Amino acid sequence: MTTLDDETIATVRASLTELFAKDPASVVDALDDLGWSDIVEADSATAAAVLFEEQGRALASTRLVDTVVRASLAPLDLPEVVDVAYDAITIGPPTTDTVLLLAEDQISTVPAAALSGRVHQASGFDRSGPWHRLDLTDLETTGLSPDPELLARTVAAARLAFAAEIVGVCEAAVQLTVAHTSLRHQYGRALATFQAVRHGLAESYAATEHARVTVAGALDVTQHESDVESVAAFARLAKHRAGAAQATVMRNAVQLHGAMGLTLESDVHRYVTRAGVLDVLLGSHIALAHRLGEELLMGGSPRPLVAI
Amino acid sequence: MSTVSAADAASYAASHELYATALRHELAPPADGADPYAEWRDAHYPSAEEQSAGDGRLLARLHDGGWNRFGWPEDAGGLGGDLRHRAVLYDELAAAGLGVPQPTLVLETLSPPLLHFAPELAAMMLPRALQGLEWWGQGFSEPEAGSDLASLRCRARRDGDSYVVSGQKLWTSQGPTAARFVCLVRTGTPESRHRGLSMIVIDRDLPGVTVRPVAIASGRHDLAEVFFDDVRVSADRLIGEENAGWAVAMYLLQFERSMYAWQSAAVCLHRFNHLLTETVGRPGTAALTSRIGEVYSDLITLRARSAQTIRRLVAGENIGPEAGVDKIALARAELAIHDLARDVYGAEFALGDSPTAQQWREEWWYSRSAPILGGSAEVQRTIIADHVLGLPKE
Repeated sequence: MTTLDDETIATVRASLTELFAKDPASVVDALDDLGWSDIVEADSATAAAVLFEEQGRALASTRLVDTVVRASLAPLDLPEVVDVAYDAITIGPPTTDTVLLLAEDQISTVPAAALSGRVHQASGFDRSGPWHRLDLTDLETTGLSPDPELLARTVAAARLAFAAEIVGVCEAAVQLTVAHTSLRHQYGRALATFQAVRHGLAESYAATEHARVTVAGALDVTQHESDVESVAAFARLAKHRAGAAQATVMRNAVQLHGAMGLTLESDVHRYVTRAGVLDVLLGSHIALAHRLGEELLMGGSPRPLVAI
Repeated sequence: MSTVSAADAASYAASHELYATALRHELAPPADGADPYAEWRDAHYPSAEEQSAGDGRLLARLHDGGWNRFGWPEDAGGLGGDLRHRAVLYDELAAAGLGVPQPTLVLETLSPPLLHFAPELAAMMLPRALQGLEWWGQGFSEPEAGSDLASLRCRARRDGDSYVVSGQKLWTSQGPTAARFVCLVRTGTPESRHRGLSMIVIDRDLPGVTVRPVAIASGRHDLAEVFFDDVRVSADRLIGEENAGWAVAMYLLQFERSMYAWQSAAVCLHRFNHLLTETVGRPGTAALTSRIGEVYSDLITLRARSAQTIRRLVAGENIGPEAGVDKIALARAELAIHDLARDVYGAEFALGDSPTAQQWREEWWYSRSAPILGGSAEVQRTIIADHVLGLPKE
């Protein structure tokens, strides 16, 4: 239900692909040259989907999602530039005087100075990732106690950015696996001619498209729906769908690459690990499925969320 | 029950959103006074035959007020509007607990090709279908032609102004009570595959037509086998040109993928709501919490995807092999919610004789058809592999 025509979206996508490939660090500034604010003005849902899908496809690391959070929190009169921690995880080390701590049910700030010795590079699973963890034990933070609706909408917006990014990572991983299985031969024919392989790839593709359309639906509701409960529920559900998709897609990607899939020599691991971290940010698909179920069992009727 | 005025009809036809609001009001149980839809609210029929008859009466009631005529062209008994109006109707009917009338599942699949390729037939058949006076069966599969549809053998031989049809069809939903069958038949040579097929409407009451209901494992006659023994069918019953039946079938598939999925999602969401009310407080429910969340996610994903496909159709786009993605979402959601119900009820599902258990068992069995009918799960994956991902052929 976008107001941008397909051609415009394709052009924007192509420009973003190029930007992310060239220099991810410059993307935030380059967006201005691209007339990004006009695109957001025309259709913020499609703009967000395209931007974060492309970031995911490129495996780029930027603080773009921080800008989403800051835009959503504009009414709070925060310092203009502030890094954001998502459940105590930041994208790169904090660089601003104040750090914003965002979680499901609360938002607070902490002076960067107070984080001295509490910031740890978290190379963990995603070895080349930008992730840093903050140790917030016994740390005094300033609760912002914003309007709960504003907080819910902000968490939803950040969740959907991560979800769209997962869709992009999945899309690229499917393409990589299609290319590998089409080129590699065993028993005298391409791997992708074997039905078991073909069906695995088809499932990965379908899972990615299911996530894409669910995230698009949730972004659309965020743009048009005034009921915050629907916005929050749909964002949780879309993040669940994207997280579940990456589990399917990455399992198949590793399997279908054979032993090569678990080496550092192949690129597959980069998609597996990036998607794995994006899944846990602001709620993994496992946690969100439980949360969705809990809400329904507490007597919330299942909202239809999607209208024609 | 209220009747749509001419002035309102024009504004509803112009806006599916206005129509949705008015329809929701119409279908909601009245605050006071008799409920004009009481007969159908959360009704469960003891047999497929009674269900078809009950659904026919609901269509008649809706038609009396004009409510189910939106989304259909005036030439075919409609009041104007597009596919979105029909999607709204099914969504609101299901949400109000009135169910999606079973005859409309086949109607939504067969009407678009009728309107597109055989407008005279559409003008004759559609008004009766919208009034609930008749419904149709889809005659595609045969005993020897399931997934490999293009190998079908039911033969139609041209003889003057008629075709003489011999052969049989199988797995026809609504078949036991359908008034007509829309069949894919062989008009070319036996080896002609998809190039020698035609689509034709065969009335049930013609001499030589025999219908044998097929009971699925729940005991319900949800399907039928139909035999044609030298049945003489007027040549003007052809949908599209002779030997162009495959193109008609491919056109039809776009609607089967989108609207059938949307209808199923609407029914499943209502049943899910019902299941949740029954689930709260039952022992063992906590262990199913995540499953409940996952099923909800499956249902909303199905709604999102089928709504997107319907909107693409409304915008004049063609739906191609990517519709396999819709079909996979449909099968997953249908299987998941019915498996969840089975696990929620446990021993009661397995052995209980309550009407609730009976209904869930019947629906569970029918849900098993989701990854089979209209193109199996395996065929969908192969289509995506071949035509969307462009993988080298097997």
